[in-house]
Amino acid sequence: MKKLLKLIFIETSFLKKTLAVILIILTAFGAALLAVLSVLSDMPRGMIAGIDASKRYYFGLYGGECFALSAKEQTADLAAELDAEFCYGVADGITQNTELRKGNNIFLSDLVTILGENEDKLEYRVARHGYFVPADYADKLPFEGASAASGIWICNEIANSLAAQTGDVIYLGDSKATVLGVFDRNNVFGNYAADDVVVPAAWYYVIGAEDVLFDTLYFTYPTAKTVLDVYKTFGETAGLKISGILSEWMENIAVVQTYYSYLAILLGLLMLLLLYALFSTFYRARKTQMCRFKVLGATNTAVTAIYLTIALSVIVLSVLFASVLSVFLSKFLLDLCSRLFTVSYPYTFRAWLPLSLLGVCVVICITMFVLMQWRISRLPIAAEVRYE
Amino acid sequence: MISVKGLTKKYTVGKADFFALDGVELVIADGEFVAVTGKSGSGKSTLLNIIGILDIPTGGSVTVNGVELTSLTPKAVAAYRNKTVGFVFQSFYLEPSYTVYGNVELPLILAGKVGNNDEKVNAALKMVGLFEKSWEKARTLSGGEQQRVAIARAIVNDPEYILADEPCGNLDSANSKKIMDILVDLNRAGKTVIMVTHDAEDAARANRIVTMSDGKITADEKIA
Repeated sequence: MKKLLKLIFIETSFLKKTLAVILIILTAFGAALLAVLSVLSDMPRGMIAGIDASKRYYFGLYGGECFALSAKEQTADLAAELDAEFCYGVADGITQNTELRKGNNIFLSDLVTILGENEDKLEYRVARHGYFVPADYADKLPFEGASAASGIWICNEIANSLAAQTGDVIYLGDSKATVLGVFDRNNVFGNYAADDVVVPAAWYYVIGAEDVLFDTLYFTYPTAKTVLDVYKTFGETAGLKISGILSEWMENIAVVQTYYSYLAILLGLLMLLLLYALFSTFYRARKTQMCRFKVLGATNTAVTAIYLTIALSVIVLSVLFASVLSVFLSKFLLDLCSRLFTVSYPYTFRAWLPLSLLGVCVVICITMFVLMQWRISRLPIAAEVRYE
Repeated sequence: MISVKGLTKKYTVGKADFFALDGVELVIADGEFVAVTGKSGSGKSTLLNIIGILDIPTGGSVTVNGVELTSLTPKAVAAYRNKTVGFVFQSFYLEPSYTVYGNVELPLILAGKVGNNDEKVNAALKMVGLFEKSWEKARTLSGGEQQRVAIARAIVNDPEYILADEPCGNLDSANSKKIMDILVDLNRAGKTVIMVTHDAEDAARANRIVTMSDGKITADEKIA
């Protein structure tokens, strides 16, 4: 190790030069990756639709979709076409960024822990402070001054935390809303199906349903591959039928999401190709020096260790630099990061993305090591010495 | 002692075979200063490269101190290049961005000696008369000075054999004389020197001249 450090130390001038080149490439690549992530993060999270035994339709816009005016209008059109009785949007995202309180004194607990259907412990964080506040989103909520039928539904855990019940007024930031009902998180559809709470053509905003409706469903139906699969499975289990029209729309969403998944895979492959190109360029540029080291008595492993350490150090430094640059120099990316890390994403996504990236890094390192060993062991030293 | 038996090195160009070495037989005793001469393409550099394990023979064997070189493991090959032989090349083969000291210290670091190497490095640099330029970058030196750094690097690990391939090929006569003086001094100090050269004057400084032609040894004479 000391030998390696000493060699790397006297190689610092090379490090500086290479760093500049790789920084540019990786920064561009990082920006492209973040752009794709931003597209993915803005993708519709899904739409829930159902029809129960009494042929009542429910439409649900999910996640960020409920803030998009076009999505709401589209949903309303479909609801009217199918003579739906009500529409609703899951507004959990707002509570992650906006203060939820009853009056001026009763605030929601920082953390509401809920035991899910399968004994899964769901930690539902709400009313976080310090993150970006989507004032434009809050403005679009038709709470105050909207029709008497509109209002807000809250899950029973949140109701308990706020000591709120039907008819109370609660505040979401500066917006005021009447609690139309309290629902059981494990039986959201059941609550909507109750005759006494349905008001035709009303819009409801639901708080406290997201985890149950999406993340829990992912756990409950682990074979589901797409959002569409999840809702289809849920609908079948709950005795609901997914509307054909809506199903088609959701399929389109799923197709688009799949398309972006492919794009992400392509981008990943591009990253591997880029790394290979960098590695090859690096190898060619340093081939003479590698021969020199071998002539002077360096083993293949020592030569590999020297150059791979330098290369990987440069890559790690570049990625760190690009990340820091992205976070601090761009408000857009800052907002994006806030949303990426605070909005409740599916657990599967959150758990597997970093692990996958780590796995990819490990595979790249091992591949580079093997490739480099193989190439270094075949260095044409005699020819290199003769024609330098 | 270096013993070369039936050494061949064949290159295939298209469908034609070309023998750079064709059944070379040679024994070099410890303490000799051997000049290998011959025209370009005669195989003298190939012979030197095979003795230094920079190249692999097609046939035959090279034994150094009783050890057959082709039987060595990659790790043993690295140790051989690091400790048993010291190379001096026509084009110096230095790290241009390193200091003189850094270049000379390199074989010691690769040998795992990462502590204070001042004593050995300075001794080698004093031997070639470059101690005063220890902290200058190698690329800023003249050709003659660079070759002296290369010699210092070759001897810093105290190898038994110095393998020099046209060490004066890129130098003027004054610098050539300095380099040859150093090699002669090293030989007198007990090092076995094998030098490839096409210069008769340089070859005359050795105590044995081996002449090659078309991959074969055509003459082998000792100089009194």
